[in-house]
Amino acid sequence: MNIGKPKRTHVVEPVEDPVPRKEPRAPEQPPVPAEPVAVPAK
Amino acid sequence: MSGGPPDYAEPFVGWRVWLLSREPEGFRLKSLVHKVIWEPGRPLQASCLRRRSYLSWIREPAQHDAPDEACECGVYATRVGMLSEYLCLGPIDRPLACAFGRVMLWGQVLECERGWRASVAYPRHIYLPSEPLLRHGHAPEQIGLDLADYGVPVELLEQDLRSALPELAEAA
Repeated sequence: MNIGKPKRTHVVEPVEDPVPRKEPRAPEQPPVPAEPVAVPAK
Repeated sequence: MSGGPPDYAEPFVGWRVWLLSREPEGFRLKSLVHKVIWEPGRPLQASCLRRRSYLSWIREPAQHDAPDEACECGVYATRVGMLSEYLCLGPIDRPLACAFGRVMLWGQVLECERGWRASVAYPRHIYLPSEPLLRHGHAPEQIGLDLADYGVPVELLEQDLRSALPELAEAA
């Protein structure tokens, strides 16, 4: 790639990391406990 | 680094072309000149890969940090107006099966007459021209899914590149 002659050097220190963070996977929902079954009174 | 305060607190943004490389984990971006894979989620750190001897089959260790004014090393980017000549390499004027887009440059950034050479880089926006990929037997949608691992926007382009580039430059 011919981009020509160098002119000047810059020091670039981004305040925020330019590399996107990986989206954390949504935690799996714990299984919903089953409704307690009423035990018929004796 | 120079040790002094930085000149800029945001990356420079240029344009570049990448080759597409089929790796075990999917398609990845690869530099045009050197066989360097751009890893998703990790900035590409430049090092000088220039051979000091044409007779050397092994790359010898660099004597300097990249980019160096007296060398040709560093991660390259240019202005959008220059992209078409790299998308249409070869004796026939047909676009290569490749990706192109915007790239962020930081660290030591050497400003040149028509672009930049930097010490650190990462893609910012990836465009995939569909027609050359289809002509080479690739599925653009699948490649797009693989490139989504970079965590930046990936766009399939259906239209002719020569008409698309000015529009993309204006929108950027």
